[in-house]
Amino acid sequence: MRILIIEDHRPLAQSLARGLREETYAVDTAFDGEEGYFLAESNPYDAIILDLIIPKLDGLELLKKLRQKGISTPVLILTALDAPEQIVAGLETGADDYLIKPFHFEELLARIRALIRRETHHKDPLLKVSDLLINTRTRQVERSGQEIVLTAKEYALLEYLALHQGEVVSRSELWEHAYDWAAELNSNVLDVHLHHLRQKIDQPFATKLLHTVKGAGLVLKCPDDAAGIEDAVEARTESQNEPAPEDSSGAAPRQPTTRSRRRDSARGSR
Amino acid sequence: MKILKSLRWKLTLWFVLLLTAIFLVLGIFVYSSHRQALYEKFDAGLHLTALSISNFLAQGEDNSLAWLKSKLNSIEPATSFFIYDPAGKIILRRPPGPAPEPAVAPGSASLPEPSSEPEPSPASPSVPASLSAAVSPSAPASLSSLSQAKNEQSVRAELSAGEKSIDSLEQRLAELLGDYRTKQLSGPASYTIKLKAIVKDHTDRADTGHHAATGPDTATVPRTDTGLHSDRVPAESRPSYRVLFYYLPLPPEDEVPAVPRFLPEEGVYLALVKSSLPLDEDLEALRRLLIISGLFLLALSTAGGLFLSSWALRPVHQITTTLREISGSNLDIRIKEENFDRELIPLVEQLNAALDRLQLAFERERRFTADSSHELRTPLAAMINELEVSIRKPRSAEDYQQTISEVLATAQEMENILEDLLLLARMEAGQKSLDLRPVNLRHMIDESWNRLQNEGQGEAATKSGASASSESKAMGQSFPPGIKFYNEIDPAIVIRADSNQLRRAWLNLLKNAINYNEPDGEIRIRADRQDDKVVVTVSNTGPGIPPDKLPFIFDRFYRASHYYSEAGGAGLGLSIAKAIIELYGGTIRASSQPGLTTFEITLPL
Repeated sequence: MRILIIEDHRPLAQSLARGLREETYAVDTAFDGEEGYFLAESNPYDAIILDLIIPKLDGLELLKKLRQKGISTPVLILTALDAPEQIVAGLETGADDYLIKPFHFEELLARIRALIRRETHHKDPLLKVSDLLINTRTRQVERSGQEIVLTAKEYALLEYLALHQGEVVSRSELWEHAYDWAAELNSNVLDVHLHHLRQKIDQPFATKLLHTVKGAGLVLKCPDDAAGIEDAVEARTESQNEPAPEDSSGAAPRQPTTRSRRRDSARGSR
Repeated sequence: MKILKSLRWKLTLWFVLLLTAIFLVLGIFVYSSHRQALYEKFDAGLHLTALSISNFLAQGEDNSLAWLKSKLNSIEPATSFFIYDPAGKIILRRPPGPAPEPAVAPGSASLPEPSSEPEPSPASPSVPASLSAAVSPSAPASLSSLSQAKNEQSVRAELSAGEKSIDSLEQRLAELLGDYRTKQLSGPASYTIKLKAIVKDHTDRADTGHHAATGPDTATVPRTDTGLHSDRVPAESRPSYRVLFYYLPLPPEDEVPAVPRFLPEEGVYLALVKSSLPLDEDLEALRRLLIISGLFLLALSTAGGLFLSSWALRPVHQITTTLREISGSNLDIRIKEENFDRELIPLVEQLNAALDRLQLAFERERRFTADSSHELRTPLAAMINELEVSIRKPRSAEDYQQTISEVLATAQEMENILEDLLLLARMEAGQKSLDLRPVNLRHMIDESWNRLQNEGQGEAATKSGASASSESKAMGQSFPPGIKFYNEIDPAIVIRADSNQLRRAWLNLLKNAINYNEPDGEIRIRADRQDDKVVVTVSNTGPGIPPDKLPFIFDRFYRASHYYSEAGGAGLGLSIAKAIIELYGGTIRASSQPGLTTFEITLPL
């Protein structure tokens, strides 16, 4: 899950980013409205944390522009403005949640998780793929009653795949949602992480859950809906005229605009 | 009087009073002129009649009675009249209403006598004798006795309204005049004459002077002695007649009308008395009409006044309604000037101006609340978050150290804000007495600049050291070495100031000029002596302040958002500079356009 923090108070932005990263999120930070708008517009974030009083472009203006552009990324407003009419204005402009400073980090985390669940239509914080169980709150993973210890990045990848279980997820999409700007631009990183993940969740078990779809990406699914893969593959190739060349490379070049567009079309085909 | 506290009722009251006054004046005028006209008409009619009777009596023609009858008939029907006999008894009466016919005992003094008993001239033969002697002054002595007899029997004429009375008049008149010689005359002693009466004043042929004219408005007419039988009397013995008019209120039917006391001691009287009653009635009717219409007008004018006053007060209601709609959340409502009359436009304009100021004050307040909570809560949130994240899991000593120094830096930031706020509060309270000493303005500003430069370089150095990590930009106000500084103040200018305090104002202004400048921009300071003050201008290049933000730049925590936070500080610098300058009795104002922002500071020397 990748989160954008738009907050001009650098110490706050940095400590938030640090806390979220420790929670396996990929985090980008922007210190003013213009930068924030550019990032939000060009990257497929899973959630945006937005301060309202920010330089260059006011928070509400930014939000309005985003929503007008059709970008529906969940937005949590994090601000010191606590008057009811300000909260109303924030939510009416298109925010999904509103949190007042000073806040508790746990609460912020819970709200962000809720936003992401809502966005992926999983109301249950416990994700289940066949006998694989993922507790998104505690980030504990177990399969057939056996606990699996994952690194932060492995978990992030698994969570994303589990939230989109049954769907084919391209490598670029994975990259976009699990890595932030600060991540190394190394194509191998994703492959290495995926390899480790596969080893941990599939290797010791008879049935494989994580499948590679050639030329399209990966899919996490129960073994019995094989037909689903074909459908998913079809849907994906239809919506995506050119087979993603980044698939093989894994590490996608940073071309935010085209990538986000592709992501949108993929979502639309779902 | 609660009602007098109501403008509406007051207006109504004045309106009613005004109308009432007009009505009263008009009413009195109408009434009196009507009255006068009535009386004049009345007088004219009577006069004519009286004159005619006098003439008739004077000529003594035989057919005169018929003529008199017609004359009397020609008197306006509304007018009543009475004819008295010499004893003061009414022998003829024409009341305006239906004929009165009270049955009255013959002995009583009441007058309308039944007509069935014509006066049979019961006056004894002695009476004519005495009458002939009437010329003698001794006559009054016998008057009373005659009058008694008269009262009892003589005036029995049938008296009734209209024709009939006048018909009987003929007879009665003949009788009376016939009796003239035989009767002794008497007159009641005390009656109040109201106005006029017809008196036929008999004068002796010898003109003894007993019967001199007494009344006003008299017409003395030579008369053959006994009227109708003038030919029988020698011309020189003719009496003269006096004609008087008077008005009397019409008495109740069964009462004797007031009889004039004009009756002389002797002689035959023919009195025509005209009651004023028809006039009174007429006037009474007019009066009633006036009162009723007055009351009606009062009611009408009250209603009209209420309507008019509420109509006049309608704009006030309109304004009230509009003002009532205004609350904290919709202060942008204004009273529409075009809906009002010219006289109210200044009021509306003033109200709107007051609303403008109110809205500005509200906006300021709202902005201050929002900005201050943002400025104070954000560092607090940063500290809490930093600590909460740190405590989630065990960390290395370096991690903790990092956390602590981050929190410390944020706490210092908050401390600075609080110090600034406290400084402002103290200055607002104006407690500190100023330690004024002569200071060279140019030196002072140079000093400030140098200090800023040292500070800036130091800060920039620490920043570059501390934030070499992931963040791209060094935070806070790094000192821009590219900015050119021109101090063009005349070194001769010396002001009296507390240099420590005033320097802070210059520092803040310079900081502002640096922070909102271009990296290679310039700052220019000039000073100009004017009489008893010095005007200092601090101008800097840079993008400028948008006009809509200009009024707020001295507000606490306010930052024209374009530069927000890149410039660092909490947005209190200019507020402090302003407060300090105002503490010295100076003023500061800013003007800006793209490329040039100027602060003009006026300080008393």
